[in-house]
Amino acid sequence: MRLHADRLYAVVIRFGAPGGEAEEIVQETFVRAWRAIGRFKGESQFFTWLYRIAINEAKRHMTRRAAQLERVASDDMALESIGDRAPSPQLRAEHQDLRAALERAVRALPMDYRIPLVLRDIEGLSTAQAAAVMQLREPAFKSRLHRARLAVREAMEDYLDVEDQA
Amino acid sequence: MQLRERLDHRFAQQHMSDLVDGTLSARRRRRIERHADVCPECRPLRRALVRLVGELSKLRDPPPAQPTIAPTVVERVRGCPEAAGARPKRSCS
Repeated sequence: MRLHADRLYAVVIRFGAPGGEAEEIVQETFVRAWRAIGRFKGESQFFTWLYRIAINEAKRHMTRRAAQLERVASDDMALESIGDRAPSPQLRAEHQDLRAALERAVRALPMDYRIPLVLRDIEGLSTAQAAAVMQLREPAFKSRLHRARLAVREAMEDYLDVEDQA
Repeated sequence: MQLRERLDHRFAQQHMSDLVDGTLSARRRRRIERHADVCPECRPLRRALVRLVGELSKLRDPPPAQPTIAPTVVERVRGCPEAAGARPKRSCS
């Protein structure tokens, strides 16, 4: 349980929950998993099943927070407006490195786009696993992942495209 | 831009992530690669996505040695009536 709890905690933090809330989400995830363990048929990996419960729980928490409500409710609009771009390379040295800018760009994504990116690109799940966690067909999952990457790429243009400007 | 080039461009823009993830058939991969080699939009897109995916993978946190949240999770689960065999209607939080 320790391994799963800490892994899940890191993932939920990536979904955008602050530390205290993330811990609560993980606790609730395990409580729900405990209750539903009889319905776990072993058709998916146990951790995949836990991810799915955690995502639902995280979404529930997020929608409760007034500050997050608008973002979650209007995913497409928010995705278009990630134009709050990372600072230029000149500012990078003063404020943050690539990692910090990347973290911020990922957090700026709406939940429905952030989750595929976190599961596939950060957590390293396969496309099939991540699609199963999100209960999406693979083409739909890939489309969402691609759009998420494009949005992050746009926000990170000064960092990622730097070779092309040289 | 010729029709064929426009179609290749659209295809490349839609499937560049699949190329980066290595999930395309050889034929489709060649189609995008050929186009991206000469397209001023798709070439930087390919480069940026390759780099982005590489950088994102570095964000994965190693499992923390300490502290762990497992004890509080165990405590919470043990606090559930289900753990003692009861079946409450609502949350045990």
